[in-house]
Amino acid sequence: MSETTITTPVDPAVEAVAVKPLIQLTNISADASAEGASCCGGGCCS
Amino acid sequence: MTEPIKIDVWSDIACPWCFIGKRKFEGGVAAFQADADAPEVIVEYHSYELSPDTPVDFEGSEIDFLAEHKGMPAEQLRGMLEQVTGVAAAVGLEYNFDILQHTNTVKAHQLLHYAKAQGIQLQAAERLFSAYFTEGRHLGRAEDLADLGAELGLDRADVLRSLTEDEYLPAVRADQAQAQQFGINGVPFFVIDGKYGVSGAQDPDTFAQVLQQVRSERAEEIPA
Repeated sequence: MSETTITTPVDPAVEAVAVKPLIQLTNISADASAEGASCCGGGCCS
Repeated sequence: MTEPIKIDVWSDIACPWCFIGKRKFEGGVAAFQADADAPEVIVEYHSYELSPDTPVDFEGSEIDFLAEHKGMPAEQLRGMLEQVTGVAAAVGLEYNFDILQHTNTVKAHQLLHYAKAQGIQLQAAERLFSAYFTEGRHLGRAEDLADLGAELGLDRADVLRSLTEDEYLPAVRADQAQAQQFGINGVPFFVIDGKYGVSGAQDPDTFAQVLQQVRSERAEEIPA
């Protein structure tokens, strides 16, 4: 089941990983998820 | 002649950060293109359904929806929506969550694909976001979406036909498959020149910087 999260923008840790080459996207997702509610750096998560 | 920079944006009409991100991204592009020699920026929107299991005729408020899906207390959600409303206002957008009609967005995504085929996708995205977050229009039903299509200058009857036949549903699914391939799990998500991913409604400076980075890398690739 999917869910929607409205997150707060943008804490520095998330911002630091927000721009990466696409080849590193998997790592971005893992790092960002560790940030909990800020998983998308100011976005909506499924 | 300088080759344009292509930006692929994954978003959902029901995502408040996507409209905010659209504004911030546009600000970044404007800053980047303040340099008259900057390359053209071409933008294409792609489909991402945050909650594909949402019924078209969802009965309840946005807070009801989020409470049901997140299991969070209404008071906390109210605070979150107030914060988002404030962020939206800071970029010139009016959000009215009290009249918002939460719904399934798959038909709205199909309208964006229809509009792309007619060359007006960006106008359609802007219209749909505004209709949803500012005007409280219903974006889940083909008839309502056909009305919005007509407002955009599209042939209402043909929009209705297309939506009823799910003409662009395969295109929506193809976008979602591409998102999965990229590992996208949240929106807005911007893929710049097929090389860089920017997640979330970042500040305009971030978008301008990554555009400049792409431009610089291109210059370095040109043989002496």
